[in-house]
Amino acid sequence: MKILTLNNVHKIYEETEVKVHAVNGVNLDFEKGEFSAIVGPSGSGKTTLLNMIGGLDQPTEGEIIINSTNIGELKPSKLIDFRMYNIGFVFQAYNLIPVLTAKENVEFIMHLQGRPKKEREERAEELLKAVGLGDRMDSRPSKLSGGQQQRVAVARALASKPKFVLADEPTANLDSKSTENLLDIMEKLNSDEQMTFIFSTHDSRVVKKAHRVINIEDGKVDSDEIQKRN
Amino acid sequence: MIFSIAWKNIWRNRMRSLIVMIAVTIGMIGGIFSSAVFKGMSDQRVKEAIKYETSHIQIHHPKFMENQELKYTLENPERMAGEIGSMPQVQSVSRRMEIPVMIKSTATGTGVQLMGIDPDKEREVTAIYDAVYDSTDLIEQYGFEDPQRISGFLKDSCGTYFGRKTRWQQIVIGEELAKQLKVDVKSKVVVNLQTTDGNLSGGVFRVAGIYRITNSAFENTVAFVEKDVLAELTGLRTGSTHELAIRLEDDGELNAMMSQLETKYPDLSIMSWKDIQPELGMITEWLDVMLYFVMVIILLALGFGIVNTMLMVVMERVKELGMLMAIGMNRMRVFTMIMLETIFLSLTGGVIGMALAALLVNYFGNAGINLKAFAQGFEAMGYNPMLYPQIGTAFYFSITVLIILTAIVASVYPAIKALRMNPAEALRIEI
Repeated sequence: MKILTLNNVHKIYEETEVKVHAVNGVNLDFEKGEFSAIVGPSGSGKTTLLNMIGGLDQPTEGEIIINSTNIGELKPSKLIDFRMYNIGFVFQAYNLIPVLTAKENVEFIMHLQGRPKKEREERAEELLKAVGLGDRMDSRPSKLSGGQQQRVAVARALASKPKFVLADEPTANLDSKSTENLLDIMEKLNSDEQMTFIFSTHDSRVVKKAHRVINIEDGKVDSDEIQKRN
Repeated sequence: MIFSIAWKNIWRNRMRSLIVMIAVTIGMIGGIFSSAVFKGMSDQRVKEAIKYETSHIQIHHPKFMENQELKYTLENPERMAGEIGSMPQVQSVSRRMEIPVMIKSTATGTGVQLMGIDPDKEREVTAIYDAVYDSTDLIEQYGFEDPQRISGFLKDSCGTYFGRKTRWQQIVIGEELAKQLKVDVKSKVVVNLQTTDGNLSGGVFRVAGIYRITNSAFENTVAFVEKDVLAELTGLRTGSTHELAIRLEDDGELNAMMSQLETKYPDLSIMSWKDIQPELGMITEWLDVMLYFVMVIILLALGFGIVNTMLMVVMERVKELGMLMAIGMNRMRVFTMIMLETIFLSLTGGVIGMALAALLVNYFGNAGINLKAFAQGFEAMGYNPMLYPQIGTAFYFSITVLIILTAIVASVYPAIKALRMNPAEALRIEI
């Protein structure tokens, strides 16, 4: 089932004297349950593309359709709600709320969605157990390692029951063991819950695990390949 | 949860938050305590003015206040005093004569306002009787353990409020006037006045008592004699009355009573203490406004400090705010969170400041602040040099509202800064 379509998406930055064509006519479709990596060197436009897919940035031209909704047509306030209910985010720098515990961080987005406390707590516990942090639920981010924080971020991204999760270089700050561990968890969530993951990365370890690898070069799709699953 | 996050957020940088809280605390203590001192001073002044000088309400012939001419007496004053005295809000009514006279001693002379009173009735309306330096003060001053041991001589040396049987006509004068005339208790003074038929007349009085209140101008210009004696000197009928002085049961009844009397006696001049001493009325009415004005200025100054702190908070948390907006926290919630942080930051300091100020006000409200070193200056303006700070609970409530308003206003600019962020850009910023 197609959940995300990019039709001739362009992004041009004109703020500086030099016009920058960061994304240049990208056409892509993503099916439910994909585990895909958008790969490319620094400055290739992968983060810009991911930001536009996540509704954090608007394309200069073209359309992005998520589950039949053209997100470019949504008003800013509707777009925020749309993001909350449809897209999970995992950031490179974890970006957890430092004053909340791991469990509260996961609960937070469900609080924004207005879900009842009991449901929030149960789902937060279930997700933290799924990412292997059942024993660190009451720890604040400062008491967790980078890998553990990123696992909390994955649990948080899934808490809102999104259509897909966007992860912008999720392993960039992690050591190889934590990277391996995180990728295993995300892969398991992908196979067990049919959760769609889209990464931007230049980490070969992530690329190796991805089922589909989309290469971006100078804002254009250079290659789009399905990899054999191990 | 946003409440909880906002509260926890203010403790992320403890030292910075504590500095803001301490500034608010000190501002509150300073503002509230000084307000309480001024309010206490003003309330004391009003209470003493009502107690010793004006009573709550005075009724005159409408033309009497123009030139204080003898002929403008009230009609049927006895009946009026009876009617007014029987009203439930009224504690008592005193009928007075009031005449400008010259008073002379062997040393000098001066003009004063001579009040002809019925001492027993006047006791129920004003408390000059209590301000006369008498044997009670002597006991207090010299610390006699047994008042019975005070010798007859000493007792006789003290003044009384028309309390001693004597063949002399008695006059009670203020301490300032006594000093000016260089007279003491039992000294003789001569009073010159104009009679109803326009001739000059006079009488010799012995100083029966000397009163001491906190208004030296009043002490210097108002003397009391018995009403019938004054009527006889002026040629007015016994029982003639220029002024009805009314003491109410409760200060709060003033406005209601004024309108009741104005309706009942439309042809007479009905004046409240605020009309009689307009400067006092103005002080009490303007003081409240001024106190709030002072607090607003203090809060305004603190507000700039708070804005600065909150701007630092927002700038430090750009990435976090970007993340919150990215995952679905809408503008209203971001604004609310920053506003709540500002309110918590300000209100914590504010509540501590108010609590400490309340303790100080309570302590000094009972113990008093002794400024007797400046007594002369205070008394020249009619103020008691012993200050008892006081402030109503409504003031604390209003200050709480003002602090919250200040915090809301102070949070607007930092919050707008936060809301203007583009989540995608905010997430890219490296701090």
